[in-house]
Amino acid sequence: MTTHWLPALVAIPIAGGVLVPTMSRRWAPAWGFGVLIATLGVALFLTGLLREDTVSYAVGGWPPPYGIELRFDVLSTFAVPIALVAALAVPFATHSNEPVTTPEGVAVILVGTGGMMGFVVAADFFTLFVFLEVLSISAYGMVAMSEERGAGLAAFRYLLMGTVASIVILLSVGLLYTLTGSLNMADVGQRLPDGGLPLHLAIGGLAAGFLLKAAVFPLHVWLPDAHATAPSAVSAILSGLIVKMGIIGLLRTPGLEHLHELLIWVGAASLLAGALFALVQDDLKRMLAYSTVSNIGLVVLGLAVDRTGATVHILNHAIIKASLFLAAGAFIHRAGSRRIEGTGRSMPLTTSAFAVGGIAAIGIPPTGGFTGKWMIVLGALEAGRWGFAVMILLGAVILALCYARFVVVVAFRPSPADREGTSEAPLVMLVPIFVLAALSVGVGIIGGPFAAFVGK
Amino acid sequence: MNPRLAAAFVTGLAVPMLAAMAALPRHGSPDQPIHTHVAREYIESGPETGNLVTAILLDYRGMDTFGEVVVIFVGLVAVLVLARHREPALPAASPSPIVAFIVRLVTPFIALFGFHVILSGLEVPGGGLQGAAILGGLVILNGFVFGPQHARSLLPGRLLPWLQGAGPLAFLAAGIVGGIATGFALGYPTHLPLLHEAMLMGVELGIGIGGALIFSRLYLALEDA
Amino acid sequence: MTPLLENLDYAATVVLLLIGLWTVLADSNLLKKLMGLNIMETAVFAFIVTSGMIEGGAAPILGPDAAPPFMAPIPHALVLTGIVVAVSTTALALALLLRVHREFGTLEIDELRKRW
Repeated sequence: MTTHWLPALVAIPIAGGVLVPTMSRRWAPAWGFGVLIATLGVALFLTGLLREDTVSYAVGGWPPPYGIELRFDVLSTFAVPIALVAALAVPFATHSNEPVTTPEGVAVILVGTGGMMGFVVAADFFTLFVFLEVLSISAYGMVAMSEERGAGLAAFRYLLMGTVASIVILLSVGLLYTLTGSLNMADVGQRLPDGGLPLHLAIGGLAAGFLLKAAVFPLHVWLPDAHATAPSAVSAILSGLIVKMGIIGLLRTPGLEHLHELLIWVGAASLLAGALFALVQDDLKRMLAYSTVSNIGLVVLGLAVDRTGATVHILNHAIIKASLFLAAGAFIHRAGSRRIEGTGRSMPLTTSAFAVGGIAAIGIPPTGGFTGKWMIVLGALEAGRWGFAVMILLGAVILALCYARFVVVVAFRPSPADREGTSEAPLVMLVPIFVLAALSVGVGIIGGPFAAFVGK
Repeated sequence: MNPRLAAAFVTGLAVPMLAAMAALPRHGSPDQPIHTHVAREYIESGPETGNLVTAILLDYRGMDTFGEVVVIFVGLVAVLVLARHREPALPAASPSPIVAFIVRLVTPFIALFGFHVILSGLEVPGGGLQGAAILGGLVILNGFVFGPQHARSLLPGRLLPWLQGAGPLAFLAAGIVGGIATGFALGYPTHLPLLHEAMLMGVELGIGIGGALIFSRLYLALEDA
Repeated sequence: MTPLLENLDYAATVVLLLIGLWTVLADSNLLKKLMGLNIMETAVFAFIVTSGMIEGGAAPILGPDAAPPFMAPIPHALVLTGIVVAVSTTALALALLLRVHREFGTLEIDELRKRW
């Protein structure tokens, strides 16, 4: 099946982003929100088509492997959370005094969204690389929007690590091209040699590059600073969406089954290390950043034992982690600083949404976080790796302690004496938080059919 | 990282990587996959004359080139977000009269050459971004000699927000026109030679002018910061 | 050793890549790390462009006077795209370094750690 809406999914946010700098400051956020909602509509439409068949599009009319193919498959359904989270982040940011909603800031978010769309629908390795760079450069720019001291340094370290990853990925694409003479993913998969050192170097390089982009322990060192110093609306995009691009890249890597044993151990290490680091953080956003490292570990482990479970979990975690970062942003906004003790007393709605997000992040049924995690646990048991299933449950217990602790800090600790009574978060912040929190529960309630759809 | 540790790591990587290089198809031999698969198809049934690299950039792999112009656009926008706290640029030291005279003399010729490179890329080596580098270099040269204020005055003032996005916008326009004419986004209608040529020229000009403005503004933003 | 000597062009790009990686990992100055990154990028571009080489081949510019064999044109197009991506990364990195220097007054990692 083919439809012009597939290239439009990439073109709409990019066109919107290129046009924002021509507008006045007042209209930029509304325009950005409108464009992203339109993109969300296209993504939902394409997901609906997927029930019948995979959608494929030959750009320029050149059939693959001679031209570039775009393909909307199960992994591409990630386009829906991408458009949703980006769309909700824009109105959320209008209250902050950081330059997220200036015309340039909105342009970076829109083009970054377009880059992610291109990345999830690319069926050609070089196109995948180009759109990976579009979204990565947008991500470095988004971190640098923070006015906090040291944000420039955090963004530079992110750029350094991210670009090393990109270079390794490009080298691997070059190796695959040298071995097969083709760049189309399906065609490369068919023409791969049976073995040999160059093939292993190419697969290993792709895996290493994408694991670095996904911030798996011990390659995570860039993530906490970048995600914690960025403006909160941006942290939601970074932690919910952009690190998941590394996972999608891994799922697109040919011959990944050679690396399952490595992935399972790296994933388990990341799962536990991330949770333990999260336990010792005193800053809410840093805790959330380390919790992302832990969840990415779970997904990487899941890649080796149950790919469907891993896919389900990245979709759910995108929404859960975005709602948590937005709630954290609302606390920080009302507190006026990173010292958020007691803000929850006057913000019952935000606090309850945060608690719901925390429950979903831990993976307690019936929330969305449960479905994928449970599938991965079952996959590990089925593969006879019960030790890893125990580790997943242990990681969930540690994360439960982290989230419970911060709910207590926010809701029951007394506010610092120098802060007068705060009030509930403004509506443009509350509505995005509630939409995402409701979805993180709702997706869990329809968990069975949802997983069946992804697994098809 | 500790330099000794880094050296050990890099040396450790060198062994398998060099071994893999030795196992690649022999460099330059005509019967390896690179030459016998997709590339052969382009050479045998592609255009009869002209620069095949440009044909790939604009036609076969136009989507990649669209991504490429989007990358430099977003690079510029990200730098502009960073360069908000600008301090007033230092006034340029008054240039030596000889340098000033020569730069004034060659400026129009370099500009003309830049546009020539942009438009002749379809037939001979050259193309939009190569021309953009020449035009952007010209603005930077003027900035070095006469100061950033003068370089800024060379850029179109009110049209700048539109023209700096000329690359992506030209691709989007060509994508839609091609979609109507051929049924595929970014398709080029070979049955309508005039429209075909106009689309190629339009995209090259968009890449060239947009790219030149982006390179110039990157220089100015870094100069101010 | 013979296969490695036949593929000396590829081997040279790997050495260049690792020199760049060493600079990124071991140098204590952020600007030099950025230079190392650029060396790595150049090495990968060299690898890709040299893979399209063919012995005795001509540049892939077709016309009545041109005679096969032609170099594979795709690597040239890929590298052109890659170079532009690298330019954009470098520009953003330089802007970030200017901000780091404005905030901390240094680009040396050891100094930055003290002033964080």
